[in-house]
Amino acid sequence: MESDFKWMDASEFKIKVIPLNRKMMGFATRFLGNREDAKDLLQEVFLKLWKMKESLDQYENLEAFIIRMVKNQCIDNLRSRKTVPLYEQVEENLIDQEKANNEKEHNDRIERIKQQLSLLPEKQRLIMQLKDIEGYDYEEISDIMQMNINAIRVDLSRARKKIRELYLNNYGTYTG
Amino acid sequence: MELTQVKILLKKYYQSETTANEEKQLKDYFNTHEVPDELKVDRYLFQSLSDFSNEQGVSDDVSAEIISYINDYEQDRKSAKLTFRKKLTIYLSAAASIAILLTASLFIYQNRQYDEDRMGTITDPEKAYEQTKETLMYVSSLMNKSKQYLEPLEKFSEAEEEMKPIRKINESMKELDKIHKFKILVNEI
Repeated sequence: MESDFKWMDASEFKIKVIPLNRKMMGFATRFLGNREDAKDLLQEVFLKLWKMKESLDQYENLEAFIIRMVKNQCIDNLRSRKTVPLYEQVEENLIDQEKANNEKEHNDRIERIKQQLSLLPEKQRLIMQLKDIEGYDYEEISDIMQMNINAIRVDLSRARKKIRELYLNNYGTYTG
Repeated sequence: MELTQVKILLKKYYQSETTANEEKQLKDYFNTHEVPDELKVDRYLFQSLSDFSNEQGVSDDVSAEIISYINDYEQDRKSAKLTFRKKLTIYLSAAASIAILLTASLFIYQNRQYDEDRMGTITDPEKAYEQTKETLMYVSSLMNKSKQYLEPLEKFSEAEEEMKPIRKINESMKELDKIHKFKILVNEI
């Protein structure tokens, strides 16, 4: 009798898992705000995946499973960092804003959205990033966050409204 | 898309009720249209999200780094396995050598002691006789001791005695056999 269960071997791992690194890299870099940290983190996550490659085929949505691991690792990473008090961060960001005024509009927008997102509660920030930046749908986000879709909609709605409000408060003069 | 329609979609967007398609319509609209002041903040938000998700140098391909990291791990694991095997071989060889040495020395020591204690010390024949007698007495006492455990076996003999009457039946049967032969003889006649 042939089992439905397939073992993933090294070559399959290279075809199915490794290529997902780009998307994961995008997510982790944007979430951590640092490319080097993101790369180190991905190496660890992909090594974990490599060690468990025999059981990877049981996951229906491998990408969601992997990004969930990356997300959890990112959260651990952020929490283990020496905590930078939020006001300091904001102050730094405000200085960055001043510099950014002289740069291209494009870069300004990126800097600003990063700053605003960093002010959101962690869950809202993650959900908004997954939906509006990484482009995952509700089903996938539900799988990644292990939350039901309605709860995700509630958090997403709060996050979007909050970002809009922050824009109006902080950058009212730049939004033209 | 009409402005009123844009406003409706925006309201839905902030309620997280827009479909993926509706969100795309909004994005396209903001990319291509000038908007009234009240919607400038929304356009800025959409553009920012889009810029951030397309930021250069973020979604780098790091497969080479990941593969080399995995290879390093595999390499370490293999060499760790190898060193473990090497160590095990060395330990086992050492243990075997010690065991052989111990066995050999014990054997030699015991042999020597036996020679010295038993064989080489008694020179007087009288004493040797006494020693032998003593030993044989000891063996004999051991045998007597063992004999008591054999006593229950006597019950078998008793049982055999009880079976004797059965032999008598056998003898009678033999007598009857003679009559049988007589019968055959009569028949032949």
